[in-house]
Amino acid sequence: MVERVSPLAGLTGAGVSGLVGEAGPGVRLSTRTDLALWQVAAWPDTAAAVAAALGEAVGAPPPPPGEVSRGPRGALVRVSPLKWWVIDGPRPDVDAGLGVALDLSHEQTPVRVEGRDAAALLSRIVAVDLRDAAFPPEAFAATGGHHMMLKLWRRGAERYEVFVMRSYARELWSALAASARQFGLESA
Amino acid sequence: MTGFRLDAGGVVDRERPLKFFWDGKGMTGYAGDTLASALMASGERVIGRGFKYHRPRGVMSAGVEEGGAIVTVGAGAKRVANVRATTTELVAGLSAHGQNAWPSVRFDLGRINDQLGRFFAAGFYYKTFMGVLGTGTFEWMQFEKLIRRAAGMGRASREADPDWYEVVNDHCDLLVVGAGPAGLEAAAAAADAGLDVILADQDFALGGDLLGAAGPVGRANPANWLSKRLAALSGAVRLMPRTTVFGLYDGVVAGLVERVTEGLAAPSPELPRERLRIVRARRIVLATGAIERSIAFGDNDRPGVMTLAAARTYARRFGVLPGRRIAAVTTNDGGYADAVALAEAGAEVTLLDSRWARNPLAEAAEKAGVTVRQGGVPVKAEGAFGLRRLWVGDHLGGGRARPEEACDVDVVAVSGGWSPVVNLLSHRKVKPVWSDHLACFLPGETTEPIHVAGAAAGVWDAEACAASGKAAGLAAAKALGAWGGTVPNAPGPNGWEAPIDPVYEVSAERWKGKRFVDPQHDVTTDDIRLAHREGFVSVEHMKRYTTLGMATDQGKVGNVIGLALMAEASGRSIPETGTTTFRPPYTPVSMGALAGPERGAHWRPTRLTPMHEAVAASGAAFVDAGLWKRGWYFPQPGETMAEAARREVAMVRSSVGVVDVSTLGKIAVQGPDAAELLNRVYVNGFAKLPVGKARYGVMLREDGVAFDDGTTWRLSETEFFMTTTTANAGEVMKLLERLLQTRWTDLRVHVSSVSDGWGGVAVAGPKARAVLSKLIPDIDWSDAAYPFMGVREGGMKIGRGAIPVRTARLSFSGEKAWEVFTPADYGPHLWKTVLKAAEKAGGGAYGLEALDCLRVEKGHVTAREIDGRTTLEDLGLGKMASRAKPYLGSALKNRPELVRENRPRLVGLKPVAEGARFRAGSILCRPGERSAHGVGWVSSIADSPSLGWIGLGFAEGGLEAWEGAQLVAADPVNDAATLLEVVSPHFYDPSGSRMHG
Repeated sequence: MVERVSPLAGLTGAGVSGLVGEAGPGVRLSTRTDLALWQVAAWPDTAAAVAAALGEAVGAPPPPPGEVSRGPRGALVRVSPLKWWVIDGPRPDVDAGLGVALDLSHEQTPVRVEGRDAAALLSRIVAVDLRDAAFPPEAFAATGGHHMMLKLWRRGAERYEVFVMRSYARELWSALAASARQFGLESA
Repeated sequence: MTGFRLDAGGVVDRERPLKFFWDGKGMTGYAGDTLASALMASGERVIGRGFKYHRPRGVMSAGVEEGGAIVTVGAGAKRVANVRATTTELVAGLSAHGQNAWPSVRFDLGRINDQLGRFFAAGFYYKTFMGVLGTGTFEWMQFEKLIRRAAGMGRASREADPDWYEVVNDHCDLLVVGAGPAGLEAAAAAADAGLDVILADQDFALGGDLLGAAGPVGRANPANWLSKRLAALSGAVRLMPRTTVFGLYDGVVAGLVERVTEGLAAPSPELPRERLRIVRARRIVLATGAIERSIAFGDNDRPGVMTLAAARTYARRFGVLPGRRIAAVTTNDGGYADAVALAEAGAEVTLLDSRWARNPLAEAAEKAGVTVRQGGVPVKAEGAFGLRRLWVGDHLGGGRARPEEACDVDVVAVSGGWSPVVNLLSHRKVKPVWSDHLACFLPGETTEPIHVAGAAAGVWDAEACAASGKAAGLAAAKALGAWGGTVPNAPGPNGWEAPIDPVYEVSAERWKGKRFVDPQHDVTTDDIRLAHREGFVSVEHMKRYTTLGMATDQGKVGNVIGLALMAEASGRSIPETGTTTFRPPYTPVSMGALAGPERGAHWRPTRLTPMHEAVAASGAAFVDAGLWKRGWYFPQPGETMAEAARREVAMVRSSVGVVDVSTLGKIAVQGPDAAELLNRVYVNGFAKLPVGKARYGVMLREDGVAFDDGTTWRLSETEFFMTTTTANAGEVMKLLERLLQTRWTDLRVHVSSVSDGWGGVAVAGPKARAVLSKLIPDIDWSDAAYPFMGVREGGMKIGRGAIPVRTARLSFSGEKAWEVFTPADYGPHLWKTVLKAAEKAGGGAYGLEALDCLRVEKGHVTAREIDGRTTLEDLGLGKMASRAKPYLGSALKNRPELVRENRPRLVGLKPVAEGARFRAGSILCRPGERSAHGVGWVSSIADSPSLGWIGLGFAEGGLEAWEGAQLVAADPVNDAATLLEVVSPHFYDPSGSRMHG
């Protein structure tokens, strides 16, 4: 297997920096090179059937807009009215007449933002309402910030994953890292 | 006598003395002081100089409306001019200087302007600097140099800002602006009802007027009341001190600036200096208070003249008495409590009440030691460098006075009324409403989700302000469905027993002296009447002609007085005269905060290709191509760009070159109608393109002008890989989405950007085939098996494994060439492996400079030729257009302008003189007729190793009209002109044979 090279190579793993108090760094930034991402696009008359088929594939019911549905075989989210993402799941097997599948595993780069100050840090980049009532775990937003298109997934109480187009990845990381220092940053 | 620190009192922390510097002199203040209170306590009187007349000025207020104590704080890169000393938090080591004076504010040569004042009335620059030495622009521009040096307040640092700033997005249910009694109660009530509340105040301490209150809140001691409220709020509400809400915008959005490091003597560089906070709320409570007005009387700008509540605030909040003998002036009941507070602090206070009737509050005032003079008004202040004496007179009504005697005082503290702070409401286009009863503007009615409470609503009493705030908080909660009770009746505006006397100006017959309305811009009452006499009847004109309200306070001090005088002069009421519109920001906001992180390289994102690091390691110099960094050339030691590029071109033509082409736009076109979509947008046919083949296509705009070009590869019956130019990738995506979503909604096809998902190289040159066959052995690279424009997929060996590759036999350079793409995370492996093989074969890397030369040699067009003005025919590509099908732009491409005979068409250009050069952008003219737009222009140039300096351009009638003839490339911007010969644009290998075989 040939090793995948992250666009963030050289920026990650820088350790702890910034204003770190007794409670430790407030933010941890990291990435991964094992992202499997498939986009499936349908048409208005086939959308429901495709959603159901994708739900079967990941092992969870198809989610309403703005929410990720997590199953044993992957995660499913609707990123636009006719498009779904299958995250870390199998290659979708979509009937030709119902929809089309596209491998975006290299097109998007995932950046993990974790820690007690993760939401505060993200508020420097996106204008999405990140308060618990508006954006609970498994919430998902197709949004943008700093002139970049971003997809934001809240994966836990203090864990977020941001998806950005690969060519912008270093810019996003730099912006996050610069603002994160005031919270205490761990670059993993 | 000057100001001094009281032995006790105030909320300053006397256990924490802070050393600071004023004009180089070391002084001491306390934590909790402002720069103004600390200067006052140190006995400083002259803090600033007026803009025009350079008159000495002192502290005039205790807030954001300050017009006198405008100073420069900091040094070097951190120097900030035009800072209000009254709102500057004192920190250890703070260094401040006077400004707008030379050599210092205490001795300023600029004061000569005051003596020449009659020549500097409002609008003087419209009537002068002409006619004496001439009436032309040249003469004016000589005066302009002098004026420019004299103009301006303060001097900004020219050094780069060493601080950083950020922008933060906040959300809440309720934003409460102002943490005085009304704001605190509103926030508490709303939080109790379960709302998520942000409470912002511009001050570093919360409490508003309560911090230095004149009297109790109802029966409660104001300090106790305040500390109880703050304790209850902490944890329940997000408190933001040092945060100004500077503007309200559509969609219940507020702009805030938080001064993060303001109170820190040695702030950590890890903290931003300021944060721009964009708050999206559901409702807003404005508890922004009111600003006290002064009165314009003779020389009312002398150091020692200030507003009355401000004098009381210095005594009560900061423990500083502005002077020992104070003349308090009032037109309203509010002045009594302030006068008493000053007397209780130990000053000798005389209160002049412009109203003759014995006031009910007078008795208590006299008991506290205040001498009350009903019917008294100030006529003229004396003491240019610090008030010494005040001439006092009897009020004859309407501001007219009969001077009676002079009293020795060091401070004149004036209350001419109060102006509710309605600025933020004004940002929402809500016009304020004049109240004759209270002699002020009150907030107008609105359907916006905004509640106004406290003094901002004209409520003067502290306890009533608190009740007003509570009602507003509950009303907000109710409106949001969080609380179901009945909102208590809010107290109405007022709080005075006796009505206010609407006095704006005091004058006495034959008594001279400038009566200032706007101290910052030195606008006097005479200036306003002058404006009226000269015909400026609109308040908007009066403002701009006199510059009243155009300084850093933006009219907080002088607007109402100016309006009242204008009304009187024009015989109208104040509401009839009008009001100017307040616009954001409420107080100045630093450019740093507005820019936030978008500075320098981060003004826009930088986009990097998957091979960027590897290309850099190979020695590339980079150039910006839109947001992208692209490899430009690969200099060997000692090589200039021109030398490197020529070498790279020769290398591609003689052996093999490798270039990173990852920035090309790439779009996945998928679905049963994919071919139909492409057939509709390209001018040439795509419906019948076989699987495994690519085709060069050109797209037009809907108006028939050429838009973009690229190659599209057919991967299957229902899937295409479409490429576009780097620059237009986004535009093409937008176009396709718009067509599919709004016009061709029945087509079953999806388009998705995959530009970032693939890293790609072009491998070009006579040895390209040899290099690629070794690297990707599972593809048959022979001409028979892999003809021109074919598409093949395979695997490239990388160590023990392989990476998938998608290839096409395309040529931009005109040599035998292939484009090889791999999924982006494998990009670095692709670059390193292909480059190593190319170098072994005697070739190497090439960049954008060489790439551009290669294509110019071939006459291939790029965005420099497809520039939004040219048609398919202009570009020499007319034969591509299908006659068998309609396509985007096919109808309008035939409109008369686009098909007329002598349109400029693509030509090749060479200099006539050996070694001569010319620039892209030059205008092509007939020799001897260099004017206007000539007959065309030069679009591209190249420094070719085999052909010398060549170019492409457009000339009316094209080659038919000009081949073999001469044109001049006129370059007036660079004062140059070059004689050129017009030739075929296909300089190199015109038959195109090198690509084939």
